[in-house]
Amino acid sequence: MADINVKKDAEKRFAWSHEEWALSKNFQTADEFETWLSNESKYFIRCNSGFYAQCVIVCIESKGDEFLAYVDAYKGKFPPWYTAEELAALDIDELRKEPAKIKWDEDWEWTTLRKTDFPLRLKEVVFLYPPQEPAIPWLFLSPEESGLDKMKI
Amino acid sequence: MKCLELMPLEETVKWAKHNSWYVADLLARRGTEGVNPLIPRAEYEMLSFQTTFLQHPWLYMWLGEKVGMEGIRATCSSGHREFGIKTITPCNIQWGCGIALFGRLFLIDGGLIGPNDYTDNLRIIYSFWRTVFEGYMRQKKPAVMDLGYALQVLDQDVVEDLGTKVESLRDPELRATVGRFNSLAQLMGFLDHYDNRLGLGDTGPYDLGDRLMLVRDCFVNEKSFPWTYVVGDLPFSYSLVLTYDKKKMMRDRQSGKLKMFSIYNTGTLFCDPADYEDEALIEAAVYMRDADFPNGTSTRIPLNELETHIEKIEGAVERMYSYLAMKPHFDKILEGNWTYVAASLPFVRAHDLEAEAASMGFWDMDLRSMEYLLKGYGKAGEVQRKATAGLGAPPPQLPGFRCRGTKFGRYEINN
Repeated sequence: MADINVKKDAEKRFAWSHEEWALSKNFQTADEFETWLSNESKYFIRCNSGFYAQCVIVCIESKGDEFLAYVDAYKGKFPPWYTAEELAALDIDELRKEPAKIKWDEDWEWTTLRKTDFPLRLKEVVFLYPPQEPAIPWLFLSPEESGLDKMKI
Repeated sequence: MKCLELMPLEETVKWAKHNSWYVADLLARRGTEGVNPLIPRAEYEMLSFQTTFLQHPWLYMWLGEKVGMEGIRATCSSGHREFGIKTITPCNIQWGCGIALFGRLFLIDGGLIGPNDYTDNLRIIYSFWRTVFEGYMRQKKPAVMDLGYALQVLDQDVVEDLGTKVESLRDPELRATVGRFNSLAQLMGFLDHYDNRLGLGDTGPYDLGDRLMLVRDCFVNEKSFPWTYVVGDLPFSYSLVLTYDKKKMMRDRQSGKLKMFSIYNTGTLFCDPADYEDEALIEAAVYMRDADFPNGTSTRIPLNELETHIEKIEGAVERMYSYLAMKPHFDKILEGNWTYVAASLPFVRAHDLEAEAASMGFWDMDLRSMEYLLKGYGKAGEVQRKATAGLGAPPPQLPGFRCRGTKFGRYEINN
């Protein structure tokens, strides 16, 4: 986190975003960026049908150009079209421990960063949404996250 | 001057993406349910989604002028104190706006418009939706998912009072009767709304200390629909207040037996295991209401009087099935269309503006939506799958952003 500057509200590019980072970090490959984003993202939105989601706007410098692009990343399958067998086997509580993968599909409108943009310099990351705030944490979160696993009932 | 304050165009990106997640999440669950062969749902969804996308922005702007931002935020204040009314149900509150956004997806995925068409409509719809939701749930969040799938609308003192009026379901015969009533009331709510979820909705779970509680509303006779004469002897709504054994649920969540007990944005409870609700259910109470807010009152029905209501609902279900079976296919597309248009009724009823809204054109059809229906009719099923699966809600193209372009892939306009 040392090289990330969390912008103050007055410095934000978009007043309506949840959090914005300014940084200067070079990435040689898409895989390197994907791992970095998964590790640095503090939270993902958990959707019970079988995925954890995060979508950010990035500002990058690549090949003499500077532009904004969307990056959409998931743990689990998105769209969440699981077969009945897959769904039965899926443990949404455990899925959160897996790394998030960027949805790089060519026609996916929510990832407009392309693998061919690398190498690039990442200058900003804009997180659009706040984390979830469960009203009944023990019911929503994994027992490990909510502390239910250690509770005497 | 009072008005709806509009968000900047780029902020729609935030809401569109958020929208796509919980819609995908919901539809993946909904996909596990059956389809009613009597109802041309894909076709009427295509028409109604387009109708609301094209037509309802005027309604939201007009409401802004009538009641202002605070008035829009107060739209659901009746739903904090009362139930069995449409201002409490997320399906009506959300989908009044949400289906209009689906309209955009249908039009884009049908190749009829591009992502940068009708962007003012997009701003108006999201701005209205965001403002309504600032006054809907206790926590003022834009989606149930944001709160871990707990939808708490009623004030806690109302919840606690309801918790004192439930009856035990220890008697297996009474439990079975409540089970039958529960299934029938939900079925009738579905049928009255052409098999969509505007006819019912759960809120909760609410915490009652040793119990969790859900309030389930079933709108079995929406009196603004012409087929109210088919189901005319039913009240406007039935509501069930259901309580669950919290300690058992905590133990089951701890052991991993209970994977989820989640209320989605349509007010739909999804459990894993699927039949878990009945396992944890301990008490119930039933109410009926004669008319939607601002009219009508709720009356409690003792559980030993449920058989009379079961008979009435069974009769109405039978008549409604006959009505649907006799109705010509295209008429059903039109009638289904009006059920979704009516998703915005709570917004006007909340301010006692239903008659004025009707005189302003609430029930009129924007002919562009009919034109788009005719162009897209043959591929309604395919577009419905694409729009809902694709989760589309593509971002409008903005200066400074790398975008996919309007002329390529799924954005090719081919009308």
